Amino acid sequence: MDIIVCVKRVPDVAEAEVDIDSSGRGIQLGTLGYVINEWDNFAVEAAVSLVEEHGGKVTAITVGGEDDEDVLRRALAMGADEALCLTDPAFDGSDSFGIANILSKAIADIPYDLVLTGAVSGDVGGGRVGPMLAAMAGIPHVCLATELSVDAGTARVRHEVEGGLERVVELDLPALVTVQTGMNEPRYVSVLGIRKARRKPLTAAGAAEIGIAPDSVGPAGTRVTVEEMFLPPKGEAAEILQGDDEDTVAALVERLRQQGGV
Amino acid sequence: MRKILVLVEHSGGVVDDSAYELAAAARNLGEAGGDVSVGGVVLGNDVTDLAAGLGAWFENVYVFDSPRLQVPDGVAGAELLAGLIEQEQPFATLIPHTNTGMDLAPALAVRAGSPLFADCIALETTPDGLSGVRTRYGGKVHARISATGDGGFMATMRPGSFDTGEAPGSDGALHTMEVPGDLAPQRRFVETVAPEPGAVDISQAEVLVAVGRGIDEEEHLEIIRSLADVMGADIACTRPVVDKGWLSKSYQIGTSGVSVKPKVYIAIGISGSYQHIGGIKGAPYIAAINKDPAAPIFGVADVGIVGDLFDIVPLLEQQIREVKGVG
Amino acid sequence: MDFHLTKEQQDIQQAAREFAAGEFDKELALELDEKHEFPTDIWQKACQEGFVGLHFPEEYGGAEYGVVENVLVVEEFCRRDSGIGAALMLADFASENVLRFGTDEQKEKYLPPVAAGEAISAGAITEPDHGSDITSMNTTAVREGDEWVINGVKTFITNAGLCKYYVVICQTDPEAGHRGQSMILVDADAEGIEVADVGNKMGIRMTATGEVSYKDVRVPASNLLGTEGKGFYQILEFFDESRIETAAQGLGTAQGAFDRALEYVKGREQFGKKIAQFQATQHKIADMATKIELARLITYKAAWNFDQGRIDPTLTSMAKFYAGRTAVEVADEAIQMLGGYGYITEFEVERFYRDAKICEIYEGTREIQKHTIANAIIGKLK
Ligand SMILES: Cc1cc2nc3c(=O)[nH]c(=O)nc-3n(C[C@H](O)[C@H](O)[C@H](O)COP(=O)(O)OP(=O)(O)OC[C@H]3O[C@@H](n4cnc5c(N)ncnc54)[C@H](O)[C@@H]3O)c2cc1C
Ligand SMILES: Cc1cc2nc3c(=O)[nH]c(=O)nc-3n(C[C@H](O)[C@H](O)[C@H](O)COP(=O)(O)OP(=O)(O)OC[C@H]3O[C@@H](n4cnc5c(N)ncnc54)[C@H](O)[C@@H]3O)c2cc1C
Ligand SMILES: Cc1cc2nc3c(=O)[nH]c(=O)nc-3n(C[C@H](O)[C@H](O)[C@H](O)COP(=O)(O)OP(=O)(O)OC[C@H]3O[C@@H](n4cnc5c(N)ncnc54)[C@H](O)[C@@H]3O)c2cc1C
Repeated sequence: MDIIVCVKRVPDVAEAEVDIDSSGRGIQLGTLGYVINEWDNFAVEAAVSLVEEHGGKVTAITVGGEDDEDVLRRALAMGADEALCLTDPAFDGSDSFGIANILSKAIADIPYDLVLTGAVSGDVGGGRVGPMLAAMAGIPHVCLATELSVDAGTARVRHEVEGGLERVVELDLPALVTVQTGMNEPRYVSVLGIRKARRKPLTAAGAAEIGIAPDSVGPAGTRVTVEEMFLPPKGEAAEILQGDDEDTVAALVERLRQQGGV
Repeated sequence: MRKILVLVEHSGGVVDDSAYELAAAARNLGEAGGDVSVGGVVLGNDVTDLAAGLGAWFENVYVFDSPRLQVPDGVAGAELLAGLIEQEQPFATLIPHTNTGMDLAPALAVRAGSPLFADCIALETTPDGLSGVRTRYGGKVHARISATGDGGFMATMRPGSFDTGEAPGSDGALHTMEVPGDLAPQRRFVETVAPEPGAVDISQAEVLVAVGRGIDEEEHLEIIRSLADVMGADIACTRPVVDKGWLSKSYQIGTSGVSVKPKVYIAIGISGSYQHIGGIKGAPYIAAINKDPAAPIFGVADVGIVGDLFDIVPLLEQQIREVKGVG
Repeated sequence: MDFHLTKEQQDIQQAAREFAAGEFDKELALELDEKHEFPTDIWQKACQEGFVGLHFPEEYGGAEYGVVENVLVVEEFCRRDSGIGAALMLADFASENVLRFGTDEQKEKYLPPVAAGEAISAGAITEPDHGSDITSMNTTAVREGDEWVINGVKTFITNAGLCKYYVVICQTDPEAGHRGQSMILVDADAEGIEVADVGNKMGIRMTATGEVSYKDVRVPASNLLGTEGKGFYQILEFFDESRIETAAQGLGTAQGAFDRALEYVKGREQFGKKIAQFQATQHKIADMATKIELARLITYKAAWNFDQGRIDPTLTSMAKFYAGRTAVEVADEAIQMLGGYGYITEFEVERFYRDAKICEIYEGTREIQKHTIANAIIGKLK
């Protein structure tokens, strides 16, 4: 049971104020910390526990720069066996099609039964990379998995659909599954895990190594470009109640009363 | 005349509102204000009648009707739609940004070689292609994205972001499309699972007190329960609260949870992601309590308090008690 | 010169931060603090994840890291919660003596359970009549055949009653003063040991502090730790390491109090302004942040120096003195910045303040640290 898990690092904006940078096409990353994409953490846990159960190997892959290796070391410390950092100046500025393209070339050389990705990512995510990668690799996929088990060449996946419903499907392996939050309880990174990670292979590969034409990725291979970023129009924003807590709460109670909430 | 294809979602024999929204949005994609021909695509089992009923909205309706399509399947759907796109060469294909759409569109974009705009809240043509607006960083910023070319674009569109408008009253032709017998055999449907019913059916609740990740610990739910009690309201929550196992799935509001239509809705420690807000129908009065003044929830709420919920909620309960003259 | 942590050290710091964020719980902390209870569940989980004893060799259940890594963990833990952090830091107290001076058999027996979360350790140095001055002890160990017979009273012993064993400093040659002291391992269940609580205390209330009396306690002769007559020198060597950990406790406690105060002043409004907009508040923030950064620099330097195999008691004492002082000053100012709320348990900074103070008392008081520093600098006066 060999599993590839795709991971990425995202700026942590959960409780931060976000401002547009001077290029107008990104956000100011200055003081923001970075974390593993929330969904990918569940994907790593799923990969590691499946291999603990069935034997085999987990390979974690990211497309990014040297700093993005953090997220690979994290996956190794959680129990992945190998890590691959796809890094090349030519990759910078890739869109999701580009990222999926790079990943598909890289995994072509690695034996695998299952590819796991996050369902979306918390920064700019639109949840495209996973199913795009599946289509490029010519394998079946299913999105938004909340349960995953593997038996004799088949993956059984419970996944989320609309209206609070879930469906169960079977996929012939090799296959790709995108992982939704809550699928499992991701383990902590342990001290011993970090120590073991030191001895696990973390390799870097660029365009030449994975055999991708530099002009098919990065800005040259980009199909969708970001023109500008801007803060959402304030127009219909809520009336923010002013004053100390006693005052704001009193004003809120009054409004709730008018609306029939109390 | 430009052709636009729209994927029609439906469930239980009822066409989803998103189909009309996308049909209307498609009509704005003409060349320099020119006309468009909008085609609706219906996939499913026993859906020919449903498809036939869509004529007023589309110039053409393409129906793929087969037991294989009993439930949506992104792999099968991508194969069928790629064939249709090949045949029709549309300027753009529009797909709802729902769980089903997310399962289908990226794979289809690869097969059809299309630039994919994901999760658009606005879409318009430009002299040399297409441009759209989407939200990023959990709704804290918006981004304008674009692609150039003569056609073959694809976009997933956030439900509820486009006005439905009136049916143009076209007299759409119905095209019955072939579904190969051995379609995408590597993915097989097993069963549909409904969530365990909760103690109350929040979809019927008039007043909802909803809580999000800001509550931080399971034990803290007590203050929310206690507030809901004095208000005579029901409680509800966001997905992270369900993921942690603090409340069952039947309390989750959102696109992958329950749809609700309360009169009054209070969001406590909730950032306001569209997947959550997407589950709130009708036009309830929304109050939000959040310590982050930049939280997107304040963009959809009617009234808000910027503050720590652990200060505000107990005070709110106390004041409501006084107003109601209880305990 | 390079002021960066290695990637691995950053990973450990991040892992400790995530563990503390996931497991430490404010309500639980308030409750344990109130009831004087040890955070047993969290301690066991921390051991499972390898945070306790991470500086032990792998064969004894550790990860072979050094003081720098230990310091990073202690800092993160105390930052998240000064009380739980201190309790976890102290769970392996004095076990380093086994690590440094023990025989293979002793290491085999006494280290792995500490790393595994099966045993808590303790170090018994202080006596009712010997606190800062440990050059002579009233507790004696007399050799009788194959055994040591121990008599005496040790006080203020952290983990008393909870621990599986004590590292006890005894006078084995009452005539020879500090040259007559030896370290002896005493299992907590040995006959003749009695533990009495020292009573209510100001801070670090999740750790037990007790008075331990040894009445004709017999242990095998093989329980001698290190060299007979060298106990005093061994304990000083131990302090060279443990005081750096105490410095990290102070550093984390200061940072935790600061984090809370900073968030508060950015939210609280008076006179129509955020109190962070008042220059008086801003200067406090600047002072606090600067002191914390200095404490961090000297603590990391002392840890790094130790890991390089150099022992520098002056630097260690400087780190402990400065970081301990910083903890107290910063926590004090944090309370001030929260005003009346700062004085209320619910807002935590008063607990950080109570927990901070011990950093200036145990493992050598502030005065004793200064004494060490000054002596080294002045040298012998003619
Ligand atoms: C160097 C760099 C430059 C970029 N420049 C641009 C740009 O100019 N314009 C633009 O639109 N976007 C840019 N991006 C962002 C890029 O488009 C997105 O990171 C990625 O394509 C997200 O696509 P998505 O929304 O479809 O998938 P997501 O929702 O972000 O991701 C879904 C899943 O796909 C996998 N995945 C996504 N990204 C990676 C990755 N990098 N490595 C491994 N697995 C991954 C993960 O498992 C993730 O959970 C850049 C990214 C990088 C690393
Ligand atoms: C395909 C898909 C489907 C999804 N479906 C759903 C769905 O059906 N329903 C759903 O809810 N989510 C859904 N999600 C998840 C969604 O994207 C968000 O992650 C989620 O809604 C966020 O929940 P939240 O607002 O509780 O948490 P967060 O986004 O983490 O927000 C917590 C908020 O609490 C505030 N806060 C923290 N502490 C305090 C305090 N002490 N006082 C006051 N405020 C505080 C913070 O400022 C923050 O704004 C889905 C995601 C995907 C990818
Ligand atoms: C919560 C707690 C936990 C503890 N845990 C342990 C433990 O696990 N093991 C252990 O062995 N001990 C422990 N101790 C004891 C601690 O190490 C001693 O309290 C400390 O060393 C001071 O000794 P003392 O209390 O006897 O004070 P004293 O030595 O009596 O000092 C009183 C005051 O006089 C000052 N003073 C003393 N000598 C001088 C001098 N030469 N010049 C200037 N000023 C001087 C001191 O600085 C201090 O201010 C603990 C104490 C506490 C409170």
